[in-house]
Amino acid sequence: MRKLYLLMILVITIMFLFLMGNVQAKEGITTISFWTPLTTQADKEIHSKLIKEFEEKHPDIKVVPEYVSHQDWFLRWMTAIESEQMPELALLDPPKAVWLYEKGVSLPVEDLVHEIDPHKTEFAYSKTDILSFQTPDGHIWAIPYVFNVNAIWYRKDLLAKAGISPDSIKTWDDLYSAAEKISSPPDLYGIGMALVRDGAQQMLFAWTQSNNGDFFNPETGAYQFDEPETRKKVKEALEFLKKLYDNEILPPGISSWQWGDYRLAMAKDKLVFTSSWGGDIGVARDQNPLMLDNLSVMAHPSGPSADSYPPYHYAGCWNWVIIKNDDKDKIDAAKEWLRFFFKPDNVALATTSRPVYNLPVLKSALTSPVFLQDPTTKMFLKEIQYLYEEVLPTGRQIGMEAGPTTMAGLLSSALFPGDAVQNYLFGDWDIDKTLDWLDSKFKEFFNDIGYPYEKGPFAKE
Amino acid sequence: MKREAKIGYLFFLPTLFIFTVLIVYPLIDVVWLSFRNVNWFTMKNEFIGIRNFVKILSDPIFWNATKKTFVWTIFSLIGQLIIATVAALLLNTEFGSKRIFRSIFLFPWVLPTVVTALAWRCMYHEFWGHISYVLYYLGITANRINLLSLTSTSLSATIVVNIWRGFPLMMVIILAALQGIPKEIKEAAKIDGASSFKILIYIVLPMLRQIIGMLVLFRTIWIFYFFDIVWLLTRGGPSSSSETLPLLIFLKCFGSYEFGYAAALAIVMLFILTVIVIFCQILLGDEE
Repeated sequence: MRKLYLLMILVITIMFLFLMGNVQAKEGITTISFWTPLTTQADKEIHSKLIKEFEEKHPDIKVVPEYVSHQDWFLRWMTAIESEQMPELALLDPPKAVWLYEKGVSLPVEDLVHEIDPHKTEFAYSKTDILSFQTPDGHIWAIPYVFNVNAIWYRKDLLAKAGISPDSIKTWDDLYSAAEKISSPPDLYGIGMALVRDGAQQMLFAWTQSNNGDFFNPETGAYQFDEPETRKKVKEALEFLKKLYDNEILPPGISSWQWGDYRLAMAKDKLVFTSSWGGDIGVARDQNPLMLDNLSVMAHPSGPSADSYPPYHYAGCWNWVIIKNDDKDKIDAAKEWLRFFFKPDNVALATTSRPVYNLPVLKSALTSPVFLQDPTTKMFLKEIQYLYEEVLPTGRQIGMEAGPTTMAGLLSSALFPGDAVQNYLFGDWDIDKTLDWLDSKFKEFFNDIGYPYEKGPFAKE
Repeated sequence: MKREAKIGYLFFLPTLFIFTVLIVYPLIDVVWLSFRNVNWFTMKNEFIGIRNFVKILSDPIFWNATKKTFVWTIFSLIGQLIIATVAALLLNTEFGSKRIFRSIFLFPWVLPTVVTALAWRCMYHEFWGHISYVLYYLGITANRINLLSLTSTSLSATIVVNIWRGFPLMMVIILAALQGIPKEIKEAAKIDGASSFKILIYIVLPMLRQIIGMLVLFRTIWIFYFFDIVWLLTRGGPSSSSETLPLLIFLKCFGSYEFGYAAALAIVMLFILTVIVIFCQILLGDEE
């Protein structure tokens, strides 16, 4: 009898598992899913709201989000590609978007871009957004909806008290002088930034770019750090950071500072400037709302070798990618979702998950009532418009200066650029050793992955 | 085959299956990977012989990580052993608030690693950390300094956290061993005029030698391959000053997706650990 019961339980379990694994969509409904590493509660709530509205308008389409952390992202996708169980869409940052393109699983979306922006007035068509995903054949492989940019956030009140006009800070020397004048260590330091191992890499790129330095040729994608002009610009960037550290303009513990550390320090009245993506606002809102009145933003000042102001800025964006699928209904449903998502009000809503940090790529979204109803956005509208008008056009994405390449993805996870910065700033390396080591590491990297660094992947034959 | 033997094998099969799937297969896979150049990012997968191992032996980053790992392991172990032994001896005596102390001593072990790391990061912080404040107040440092941010102190600061986190487990095992020592032996020694200190040195500790030996062996292995606490505290920085072998493997695997090289590093680490285990076994065997 006992054996019979055990057998029955086994059969029922197997049947249950079989049924669960083979749940079919209701007839007439197309189910599409998107994977995203945007796992915050705010993002999930916004997605739910948008999905609900979309499904009401399109009862024949069901949208299912799946939240995958950054750490698990590539492994999940590698498994999905191998097993051919990919979602229909992905909502992701540029390195991941490029990776999908390089794996050959994404669909070109220039037709959709044209539908969203028929008169080419909505997107900036800069190296921060559309152009970074465009290949020489004219195909576009991802559609950005928000951009982020690393700029200099500052304390208006402290600058005013010191009699310094923010408009007067146009060069690195101006920034240094202002920071030195106002700071009074250990209570108040001049500048904060993320110089922990993985953050130092971003700062190397950000400050090199504010010296108008490009690690990769903007036309061909060829590696150009080993050219004297670029090497000089990187050298100046590193030497400037070292000057800041050695003269206590940067806090002494900054080698372990992650992004949250400088944002919190800014909110807690410990810093005058930050080299930041705008996350200071969110942290100040949570930790010290009174500080919000004192914060504003300026473009990165230009380095000594930059021939323009504002100079280039390290930027990024979040994007939608359509994944290849044999089911035409699913592709159509995915496109329908994106047509809905890219209505200015919906793009505006999507950016409010992180006000000021996320800036809408669509111009109309900036004036959308949905965008303006967020109190923090309203408070910093002047700053947002400034970033959109003055800074976004100068944005650059490392590894994607000429178009989408594997560089973007691999560089974002490689630590050797950050190691070079740390060894120079906090270790005992001199500048030449640092630059030589960095150069050798880049080339080793390129050889390992087969990147055509001498000519560049976009070089014309 | 006898019926009992058949049933025995039947019960053993699931364990064998799990062992094969979770231990044997991954091990074989890692060995196979170590002889290949495998990069999931670029989908490269080619046989390269022993080139990964040659690269490892000539890589200064590997030797730095190995050195850091030995320092990390040895000092963590010594710290944990000393504090655990003292705590166990304390808990083995009779006093009123013993239960409270036992709970306090177990507390570090109970906390999740992430919470431990975040709490200690805050305590070390130069702006709002208690440790940086106390060191400055006592005149030990000229300014408030984050010990995790200096190349000279980052590894030591991480070891302190590891000692704090790891001693309770050793304490519990040593305490159990202490409680297993017959009271009559200690009473007899007392009657013979031995002081408490002499009882400890000549009776208690020698009786604990085997247990401590096994504990040291197991803890060495565990501490050697700890990854989480170092990663959460310092990410191996600044300037690789706290980069241990497990971190290096992680970075090669999930930072640059060089699965082949990371596998080779793992094999080398396994080899090092095997040598350590054999050495410890020989020592323990001599003791017996």
